[in-house]
Amino acid sequence: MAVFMTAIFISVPTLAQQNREADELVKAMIEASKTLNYSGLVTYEKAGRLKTSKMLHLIRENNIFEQLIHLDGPAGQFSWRRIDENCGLGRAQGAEAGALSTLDSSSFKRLTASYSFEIRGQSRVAGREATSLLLKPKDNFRLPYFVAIDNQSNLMLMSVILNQVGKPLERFQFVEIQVGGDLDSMSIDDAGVNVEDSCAIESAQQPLDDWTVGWVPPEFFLTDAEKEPLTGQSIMSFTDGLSAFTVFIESVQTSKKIPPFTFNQGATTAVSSKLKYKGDEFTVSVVGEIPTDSAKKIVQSVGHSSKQSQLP
Amino acid sequence: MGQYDEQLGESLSALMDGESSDLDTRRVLKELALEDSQNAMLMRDKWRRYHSVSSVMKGEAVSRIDYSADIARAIGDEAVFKVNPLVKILSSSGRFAIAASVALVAVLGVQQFNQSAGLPDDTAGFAYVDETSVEGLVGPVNQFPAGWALSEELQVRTVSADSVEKNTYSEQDARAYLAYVLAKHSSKAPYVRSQGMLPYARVEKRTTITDQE
Repeated sequence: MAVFMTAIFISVPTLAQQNREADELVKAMIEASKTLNYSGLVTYEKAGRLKTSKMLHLIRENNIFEQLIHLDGPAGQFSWRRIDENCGLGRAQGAEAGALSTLDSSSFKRLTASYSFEIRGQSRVAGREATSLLLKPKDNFRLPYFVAIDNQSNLMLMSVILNQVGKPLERFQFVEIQVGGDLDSMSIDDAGVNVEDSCAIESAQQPLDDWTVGWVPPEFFLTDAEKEPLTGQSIMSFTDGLSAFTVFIESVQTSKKIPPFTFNQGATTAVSSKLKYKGDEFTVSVVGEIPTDSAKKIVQSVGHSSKQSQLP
Repeated sequence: MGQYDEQLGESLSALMDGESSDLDTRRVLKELALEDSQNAMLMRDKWRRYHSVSSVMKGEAVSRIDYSADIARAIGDEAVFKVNPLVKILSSSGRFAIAASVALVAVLGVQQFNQSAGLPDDTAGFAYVDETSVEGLVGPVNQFPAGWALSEELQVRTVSADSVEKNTYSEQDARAYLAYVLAKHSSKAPYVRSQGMLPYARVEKRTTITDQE
């Protein structure tokens, strides 16, 4: 009996060990996304629909080049090159610095503030052995993620967003992936590609001076804020390092065409509401991979800096 | 000739022509089963005559010798190969064993498939089709895209002072706006999360962004 018990204690890793392993896995995944070149076929599934895309991710010094081509349905190609230099942490005012790019060393700390990690066994994705990991939210304001991380490269091969009772809402999954090899020496053809300077974006991480978002779920922070001078539209983006949502405040003119609504498809929620300010009616919309209740609460918290705004 | 005999004759004729119904066939077979009955003998004669006439019309050779009784007797004298009950049980159990092993392979296969997925929950299942968002669609809301539900505040507003604006909402505008905010959000998301370009997979097409910008 004693031998049996000893065997159990030896073979079953302690909770602390498991947590450490899960933490290391997340850190390795973050590092892999920043350093490895990879390309592959990825499926995206939501609400009973399946889409297939081809993806390319190349790292060249401080440049990250990414391309995604839709292989079915309406044609679509998205290419991006990002200059991802260290612009000096803390440069941005009113927003957390270093929140950009994919994930960085501080991303791990952010993730641990909002999610707990649990290793959920071994799986096989895109013909590769992978470790399944559950990222469980620490509150009800965000959604759980179930991911599969490649045992060999530590790249994320699958990402499933679940609802709060554990049902899959949407799934990204590689069906084939190539890591390194020819991709490491492949030249980047980025003619006509959008180039974003992360430093430039970082400097734009300032709250807008007219509209404010009074409440966001804990650990969500502003990553981008812009005001469209022609249309008068204001956009603010937030993330907790994993989930993201965007707040839109439409001009009076545009608002006249938009009914208040709620929309759910896959993991994406959109909630649109009306806000009155100085007799004018504005449309406030929140779109993101967050629970509908969180989106509604965020919408309700949007106001004008002058605090004269009110819900109709 | 009685009515029954007449019907029997018609049934036999139909059987001869290959146009008999089930009823005709049953009627003829039933009568032939009564081997010594007058009807049975008459029918056998008639059957033979019909075939003789048919053969003559086709220019085939017609034999006057009736082999039918000899053939029937020969068949009757044929040794019957009885199946050993034990063999019968074993053979059927063999079939059962094959079926069972196929079922076992299927079950093991499915279990192995499930295990290979390694997912403790039902995350391996297909992504959830959200039906609740459609449930709330009543009345004029039906004109909006699937997944939409107009807010309660709209109904409050439409019966209050701004009822004129109710009619300014068109399906086209609503769809365009929804497509726009979804695309715009997805285009923002890559900067702020671990999934890189993956959120772009959510975008239906590039034009949804540029059209609005």
